[in-house]
Amino acid sequence: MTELARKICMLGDFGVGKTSLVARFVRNTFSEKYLTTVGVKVDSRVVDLAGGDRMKFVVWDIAGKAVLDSLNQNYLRGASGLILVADGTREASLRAALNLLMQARDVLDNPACVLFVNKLDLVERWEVAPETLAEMRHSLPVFETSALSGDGVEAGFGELATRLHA
Amino acid sequence: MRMAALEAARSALPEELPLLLQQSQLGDGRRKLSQALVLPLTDALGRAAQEQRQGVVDALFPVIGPAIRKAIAESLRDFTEGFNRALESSFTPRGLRWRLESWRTGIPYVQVVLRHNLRFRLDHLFLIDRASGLVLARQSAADLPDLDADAIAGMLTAIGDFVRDSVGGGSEENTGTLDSVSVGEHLVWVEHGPRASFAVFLRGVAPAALRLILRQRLEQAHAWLSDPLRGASAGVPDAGTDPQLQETLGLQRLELAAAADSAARDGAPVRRWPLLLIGAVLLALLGAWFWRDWQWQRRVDAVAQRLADWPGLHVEELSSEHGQLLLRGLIDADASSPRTAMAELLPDDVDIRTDLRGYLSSDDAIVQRRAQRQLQPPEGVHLAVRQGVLHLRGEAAADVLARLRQQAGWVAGVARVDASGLGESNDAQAPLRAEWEGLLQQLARQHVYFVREVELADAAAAAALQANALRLVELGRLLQRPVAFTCHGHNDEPGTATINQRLRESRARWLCDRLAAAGIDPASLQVGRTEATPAQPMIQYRAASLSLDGAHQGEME
Repeated sequence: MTELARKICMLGDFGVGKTSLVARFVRNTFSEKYLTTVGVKVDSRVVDLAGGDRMKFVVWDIAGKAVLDSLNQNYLRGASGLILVADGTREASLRAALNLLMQARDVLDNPACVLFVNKLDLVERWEVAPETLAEMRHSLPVFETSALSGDGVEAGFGELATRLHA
Repeated sequence: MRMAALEAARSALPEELPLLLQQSQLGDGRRKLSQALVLPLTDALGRAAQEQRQGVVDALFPVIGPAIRKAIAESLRDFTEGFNRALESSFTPRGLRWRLESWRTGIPYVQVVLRHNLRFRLDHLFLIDRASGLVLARQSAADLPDLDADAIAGMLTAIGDFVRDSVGGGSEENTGTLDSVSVGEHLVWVEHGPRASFAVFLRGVAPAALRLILRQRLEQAHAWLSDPLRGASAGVPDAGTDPQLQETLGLQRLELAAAADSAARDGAPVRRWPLLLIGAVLLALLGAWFWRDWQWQRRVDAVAQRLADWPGLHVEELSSEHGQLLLRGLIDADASSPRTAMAELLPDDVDIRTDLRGYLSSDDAIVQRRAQRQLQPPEGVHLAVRQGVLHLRGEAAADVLARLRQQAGWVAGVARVDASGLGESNDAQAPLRAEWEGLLQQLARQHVYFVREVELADAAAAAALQANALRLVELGRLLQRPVAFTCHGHNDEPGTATINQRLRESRARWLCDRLAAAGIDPASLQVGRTEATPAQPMIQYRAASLSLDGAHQGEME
């Protein structure tokens, strides 16, 4: 059994729930205060893959911003995968996530990507239309997640692991 | 035509050269091109350095400047750290011990402090991919709990980026990097390479040599990473298990190498003999001090013993310091001074001081001395005082015995007189001595009075005086005592001083002449002073008188 390590960056606008999603998935080694000071918090989690292999996700939770500055671009260096996070109750956050993806592709060479549309527990207040999500699924995997209940989180990370292992 | 084609190709060459160079790098061409350009480029750089030195300096300045600044900053940081530690430990017992070691070994104090502080321990060593922040390989001390190396390496990389972006402005030209982080005794050193970095977690203060060794190991790690057979990169599993890489990262080997290097730098042989010599000198000084003190105390004890038995001396205090001795107490007037005896027992350079007040001693020896002084016993009479009793023994004339018996009880300190040992001697001259004494007393009262000038008023008085003088001459011969007379003249109040002095002189001379005429040797007669003085007024009466010279001495005998 082997263990591969991959750097994953989480990108999304402020307040979309990135940190809560990471907290659902990883073991928390560092305090969240790093997000407001250094602008990033790094945690890790080992994911079991089909065939007995294991993959270690080193997740860089980058502080929420609609636009990547030079420091955040540095944080992206060497990342193998991206998790874009949007807030289903704010359609603008979806546009921000897509914008961030465009910027990240300037730094990274064809990274594996998944989109988490968060706050499924507030689905009745979503601004993002299902049609919009259906349209987006043509270009990248989309997962409707809830950091509160954990719905969709494991599946989303599992999909990213599969894409990275492929 | 062919020449024209060549000319055309030659003229097109400058424009086509960049394209041709790009094309030549395709495939294996890049390596060949590099090989082909090595020598000409080296020569060109050499010539440029010689002929276009300023140009080369200007070109390299952006690289050299930061490198120099980095080296200076690192040296200053090391110096400050060492200086602070040296200062902190300067006045503690440990600091004094290190100062002694510095003095003994000849190593500067700061280096001694650093050497003692170089007890360090490596906890973790991460080889981190510089781009992704992922851990390529790691080593941890065996007894430490497991930690999330990837998360830590990631945060360290992120913080490094943050620091570079915040402090260095984030430009590629700026080489500002996070080199070390310290929290208490924990320290993180980061050594950067082109592809990967070392992050070493240690405790204590590591020697500067460790930095150099880390750089060497990082170069070895880069050689391993560059091996095309391995193709190592972040996440490649065999990076963490490769024996060669693990050997490169071995914590113990790093610690040993750093310690050995540090020891080699401080390899001055330890000189023990100065310490031994100092110890021997100190021991000798201590021994000499004790010996001198013991000798001095011994002498002072001897003085105290001598003074305790000293007759007529009561010691209240005998205080001593080296070179000085103070005696305080009471001493009898008849006691001998103890100073000479004390000086005999002490070294010559000792200052002897005494503070002695008078008192009457009842010591037998002192009482005996006092009795001897006061009684003046004649030869043949001996005194002894035992337990306050004055014992008299011997023989003397009856009058002497009477005097001794009378005065013996007056001597201070004599509780009782034992005169049972005294006996009267058979002295034929005793009556003569008694007559002598009687005549002397008479002579002191006798005067020859005159009516005027030297006209006698009472011839009988003059005859009596003459008879006494003749008898004294006779007794002097019998008792073997020298006899010499002085004749004195007197006058009454009236008259001038000149006339009166002449009268006194003529009356004294008259008496001397009369005695000489009576048979007394003129050589034993002299005229006394004729000047009147306040102490001896002679203006009393018209008379002449006679005195025996040395009469007092005769009495004393």
